Amino acid sequence: MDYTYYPLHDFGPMMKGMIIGGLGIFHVFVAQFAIGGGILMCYFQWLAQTGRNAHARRFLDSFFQVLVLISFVTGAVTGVAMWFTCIQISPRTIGLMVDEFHWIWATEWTFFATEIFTGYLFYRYGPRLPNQERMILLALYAFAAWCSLFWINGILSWQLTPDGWPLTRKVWDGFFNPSFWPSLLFRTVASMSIAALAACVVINAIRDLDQTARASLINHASLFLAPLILAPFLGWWYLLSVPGDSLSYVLGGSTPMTMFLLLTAGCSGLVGLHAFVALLWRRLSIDGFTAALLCLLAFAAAGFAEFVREGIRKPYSARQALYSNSITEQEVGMLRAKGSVTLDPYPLLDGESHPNSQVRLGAKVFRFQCGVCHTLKGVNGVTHLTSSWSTEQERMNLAKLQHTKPFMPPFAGNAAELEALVQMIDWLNAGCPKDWPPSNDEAVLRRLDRWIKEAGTEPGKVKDGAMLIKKGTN
Amino acid sequence: MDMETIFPMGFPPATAFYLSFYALTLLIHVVFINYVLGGSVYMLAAGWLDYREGDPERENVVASVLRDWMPFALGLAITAGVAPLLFVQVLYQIQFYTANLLLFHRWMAILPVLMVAFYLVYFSKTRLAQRLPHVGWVVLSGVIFAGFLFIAFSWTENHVLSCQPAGEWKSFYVSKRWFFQDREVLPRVALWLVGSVSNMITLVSWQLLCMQFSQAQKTELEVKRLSILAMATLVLAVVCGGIYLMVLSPETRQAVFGPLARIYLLAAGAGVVMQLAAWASQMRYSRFRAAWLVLASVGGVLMTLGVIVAREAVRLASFTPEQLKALLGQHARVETKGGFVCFLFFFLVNAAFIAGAIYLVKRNKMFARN
Repeated sequence: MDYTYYPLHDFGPMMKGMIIGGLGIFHVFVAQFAIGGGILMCYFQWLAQTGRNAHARRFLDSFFQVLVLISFVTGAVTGVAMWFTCIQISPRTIGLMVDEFHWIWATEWTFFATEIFTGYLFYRYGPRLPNQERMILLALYAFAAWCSLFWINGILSWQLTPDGWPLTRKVWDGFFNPSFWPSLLFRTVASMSIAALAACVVINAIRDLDQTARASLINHASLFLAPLILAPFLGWWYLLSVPGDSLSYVLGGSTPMTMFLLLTAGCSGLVGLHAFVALLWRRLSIDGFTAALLCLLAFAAAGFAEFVREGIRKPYSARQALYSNSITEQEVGMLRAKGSVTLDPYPLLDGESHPNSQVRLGAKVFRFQCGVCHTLKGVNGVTHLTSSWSTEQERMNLAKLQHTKPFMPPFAGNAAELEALVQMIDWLNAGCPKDWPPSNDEAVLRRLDRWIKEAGTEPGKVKDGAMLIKKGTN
Repeated sequence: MDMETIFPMGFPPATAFYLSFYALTLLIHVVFINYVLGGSVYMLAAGWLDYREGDPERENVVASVLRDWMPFALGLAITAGVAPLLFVQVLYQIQFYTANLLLFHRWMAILPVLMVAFYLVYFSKTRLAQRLPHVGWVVLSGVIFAGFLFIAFSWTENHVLSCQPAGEWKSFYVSKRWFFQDREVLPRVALWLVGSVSNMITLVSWQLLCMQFSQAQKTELEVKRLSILAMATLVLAVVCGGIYLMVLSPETRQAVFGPLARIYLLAAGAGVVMQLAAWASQMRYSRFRAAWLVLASVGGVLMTLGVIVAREAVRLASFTPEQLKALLGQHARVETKGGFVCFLFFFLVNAAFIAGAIYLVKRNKMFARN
């Protein structure tokens, strides 16, 4: 079994996950705006062609311009950017996804092509087309955009809940996984809400509309916020579909995950509260500033939700297939036998700044095994996390990493590499002194070797008793 | 596997299958890219010439068509680019990912550059942009062109780097360099850039032909200008292609001229001749003629497909037998994954959707004219 090494980079104090997360959230928000926007435009076209609202067409053409400028440009480019960023952060993860689901991705591409094509046709010829043709183009656009979500959702939800896929390795077993439907419906509701809020911003930005026209358009657009009432139920359904250990993280097991979930609920709740009380019940209008503020809240909700989705997948990047550091369970054993970086052809870029070869080795092990989620001294910095540990505590915690914290993958190197990593962290915590004597105590290495073997290669288990809701971890 | 059989027949079924999909989807992508890249070259050149001639009243019909359609073409180019981007990851995952990672920030810079260029292309359609003085227009066109050129350069650089041996990857990583310098890069960029102009001219000529019918647009000047420009860029593309072949190592050149790609290279040559003949005939008329444009289009497709396959031959020749064996094994493993029938079905469904949407718009345009 060979391991493919890639030339990895250090992002300084920035955690790699923040980069992919930041871009991902932005892309998801813009993409969901396009999806919900398609459905919303069909509704407004219906209002226009049935004479139910005299200003619907005026709004529709303005809204579509915004959609084209934001979604077709930024959305399309950030979509490509997601791919490139995934390669920069975790090439093996995106590689596995491409290997397993390339025809699903290709299917999604066919819908994306329809979305873009019909969208541009509407943008260019829509104002001159009769109502029925406008509706057909918009319906095609909306359908294709939603189908695009349908296909991508299967791949993304597979990452967390692969269900029977690890055994069969069949595409459809992975695609129609337990979190597929709740995730799809939740994202559809989110898309409609985002589109409704964006519509309120656009309606307020159209100059030649009087107050009554604005109010009537806003009343219609706010109907798209009504499905938000389903969000708590869909969210709960989604959480019930995820594995027990992942669920335990958001239900108190991991403070950041619990906090992100609460923030998601809080932000969505505020949007929902305003939607139901002010817009749907009291039928009040909304000014551009408030609409923009609600959009920001929706953006924050989407962002926190994505962080939860990413975070509760730990210790995997693709559950039961690839640990978050791009190593499979089977490879852990092989890398322990050979040494995890023994065959890594790429040397350290700042190798000369380390005091001895052992610390250099530790830095290389860190780059290979830890660098995807941790920095040295920045966000989620390994120095901050270990600064209060004694050296012996560090050795044991890292040797039995997945049992120290179940959202961590097992250490995938040999005893010498583990000791090198410990020495590197201690050297950093000591302020990077020029002289740092190497540790070469045989007894320590034997002890580390024993601990690593005791830890095994499987992920750590969250015991049933620790879960608020009892579920298996697979 | 054998490199002595015509592309992609000598490879095992899985590899041949993915190589075919890659080449065909790349061809579609390149058509739209050519419109955008060649269009940006034309816009800059036209802007510069107009600036020098200083005649603000004279309208450049080609430039205005390009200005009008480039956002759409760029949108389609990005959309069409997703498929070859997917297949390149299936075919050459390790090589493609490694090159991406090695170029790091420099590679990722194509994304903000693309976004800025995209918005500027939209901006050039606005009334505000139309009111720009000539010098402003030249600057705007120059920035758009520079953006696309940077992206084209980066893609080429990335591709050439991905074809290097592992030892070269290591030394590039250690060197912390931002740019990968190789004798192949510049001739390749020049070949794509110059070649894009002739394909763009063919596409724009079709648009002008439609305008002749629909808007009784006079195109006499454009016919002559575009025909000469197309012929000039075709000759220049052949020169760039020749220089590119000269800088290749003898072994790689042998792969390009060998059985693997020979027939495609001949097709590319035939495509160039067909285009030259088409434009030489077209320039004798005052209006665009569909027959000559069909010939130029077929020639353009042959030329582009030939270049794409020659490009793959160069890449395949860069692998050691062990690397190639590993790649073929990987393709065979990946091919067992399901979903192809689903893709094929929805490909046809969506092709019908797109065709239906175009028919819908076209039918209404015709009604509107009548």
